[in-house]
Formats: sequence, C-alpha cells, structure tokens
Amino acid sequence: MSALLDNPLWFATRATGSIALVLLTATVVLGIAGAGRYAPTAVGRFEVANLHRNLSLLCLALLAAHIGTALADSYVPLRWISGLVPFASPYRTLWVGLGTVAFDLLLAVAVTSAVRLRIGLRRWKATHWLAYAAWPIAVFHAAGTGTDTKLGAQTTLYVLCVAAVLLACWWRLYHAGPGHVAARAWIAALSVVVPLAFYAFMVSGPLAPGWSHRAQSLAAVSVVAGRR
Amino acid sequence: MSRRITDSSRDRTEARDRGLRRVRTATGWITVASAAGAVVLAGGYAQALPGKTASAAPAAVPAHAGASSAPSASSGADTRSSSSSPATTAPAASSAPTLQAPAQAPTTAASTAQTTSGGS
Repeated sequence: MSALLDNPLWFATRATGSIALVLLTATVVLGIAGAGRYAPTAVGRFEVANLHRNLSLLCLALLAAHIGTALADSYVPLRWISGLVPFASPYRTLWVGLGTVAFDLLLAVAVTSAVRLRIGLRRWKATHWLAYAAWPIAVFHAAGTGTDTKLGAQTTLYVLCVAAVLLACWWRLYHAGPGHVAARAWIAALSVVVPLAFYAFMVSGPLAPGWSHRAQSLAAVSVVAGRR
Repeated sequence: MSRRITDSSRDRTEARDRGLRRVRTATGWITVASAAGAVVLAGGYAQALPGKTASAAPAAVPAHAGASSAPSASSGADTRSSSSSPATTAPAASSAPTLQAPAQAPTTAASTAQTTSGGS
C-alpha cells in the first residue's frame, strides 16, 4: 500500500486507463449490437442508445482523468501537448501516440454527436465510424504502453475486451439482413485479422523479454525520423 | 375511441419514463462501479507492481528530461513499476551507461581522509 501512497498519480493513470478501456469496449459493444436491425424486446431501443451515449461520456471523463494524472505525474516527462497531438511524447512515442490518436478520434466522435442535428445524419454517421477505429488503436496503446501488460490479470482483461467486441461483431453479422455484402465481408475479415494481429503483437511484443527497451527504441527511432 | 388513444399514449409515456429511469439507474451504478474499480485496480497494481519511493525515482530519471533522453525515461518508468531489481530488469538505452548494483554494501572508511594537491 505504501507504493500506492508514494506514487498515487502513477497508479491512478494505470487504473483509469484500464477502466476507460473497459468502458470504451462496453460502448463499442452496445454500439455494434444495438444499432442493427435486431430490436431487443426486454428493453427499448432508445434505452440502449441512451446507455451507449452515457457510457461514452463516462469513458471520456475517465480518459480526461487518465491523461490528467499522466501529465501531473512528474516522473515521466509528458507535456500537455502530448495529450492532444499524436506522437509528441518523448516517452514511448509510438505507443503513447496511439493513445492520443484514439483520444482525438473519440473526441471527434463526441463533438460531432453533440452537433449531429446541424451536420446531418450522413456526415455524423461517417464520423461515427471513427469510433470503431479508435477502439483497436486504444487496445494496442494499452498493451504497448502499459508496463503491467505482463500481469496475468491485465492480459486477461485485454483478451476479454477483444473477445467482447468480436462476439458483438459476429452477433451483428448473424442478425444482419440481406445486402451490404461487401461491408459485411470487410467487417468479418477485420474481426479475424485484428485479433490475430493483436495476438501476434502480444506474443512478440509486450509478453516477450525486453519489451520496455524495445518500446522505447521505437520511440527513439521515430523521434530521430521526426527531426529529419 | 379517444379514451383508448389517450390510454395508449399514457402507457407509452409511462414505458418511456420507466426506460429512462432504468438508464439513469444503470448509468449511476456503472459510474460508481467505475470509480470503485479504479480504486481497487490502483491498489491491485500497487500490490502486483510494488514501486520505488518517489524520492528514488527522480535520481535515476530527471523529470525535465528532454526528447533526447527519452529512452532513459522509459526505463526509469519501468523501473518504478517493476517488481524486481530495477538495475537488472530495466536496461537503459544503448547509448546510456547501464547502472549496476554494487556487489557489497558500502562501509565506513577506517582511515582518515587524505587529500592530494595538484602539484608534483
């Protein structure tokens, strides 16, 4: 417990990040499963939509806490710009940058959702697809940045998040009506490729020896490339 | 006829209100669970990854390190979160010297200190 009291911000960053990932996963699952043609009988469709919206706002609040505690923790030299501009962080540039990309995408989705009546349904929907891109990026950010990925419970959490979204994708595809064959084929392919890529990444990356050194080496390479 | 329509409308309104209440309750519980989960997780991380004291950390990695010293910062962050010896589990960047733990604990010198001037 003394470790927690010595470095409360460091552990708060980890905890809020993990909870934010769980909430983002729940939001994505509700979005995938609740937006199809299948209508649940026990609960109203508007209930699913409202819960989806509330969870996404809660997720953004936790992300704000995640970024705020990371910036406030003076151990790692992060500046506020690292929380908004991707790949501007000197610490694990690539992996922290992925988190920034995911946050920016979610921010865009939230802002366009707030003004969706003004921008029109078609534009809002096009922007809303960014949320589906933000989720895998957030998962890779969590696994690549977090020095706790080797913990069994943490790995299990990531696996459960991936499995939940996979199940939601397949459930949606199963209940989808005819049409949109190409889109469904793409989604089916992605639902296989992304987990396989994640598995390969975990085995060869964070779960392999010396990841902390290699993760930062990637950052050093990108910093040098950026200066050129 | 109009009374039936009114009843149906009232039922729909009540169902909607019930649904909104359910959503509000679920959101509240999820918010509380998220906050509690964050606290529990932070405690769990502190147990699973016992860190070093805050006073020891900046000595290894200055907080004002710039981009060029980022590799050291990463190693230092890992060092703090690692459960094993920081000197052995968190190697620094290839350009930076690796810290090694001394084989023996330091002892006090038995003899008095001597100084030598720069002259020959």
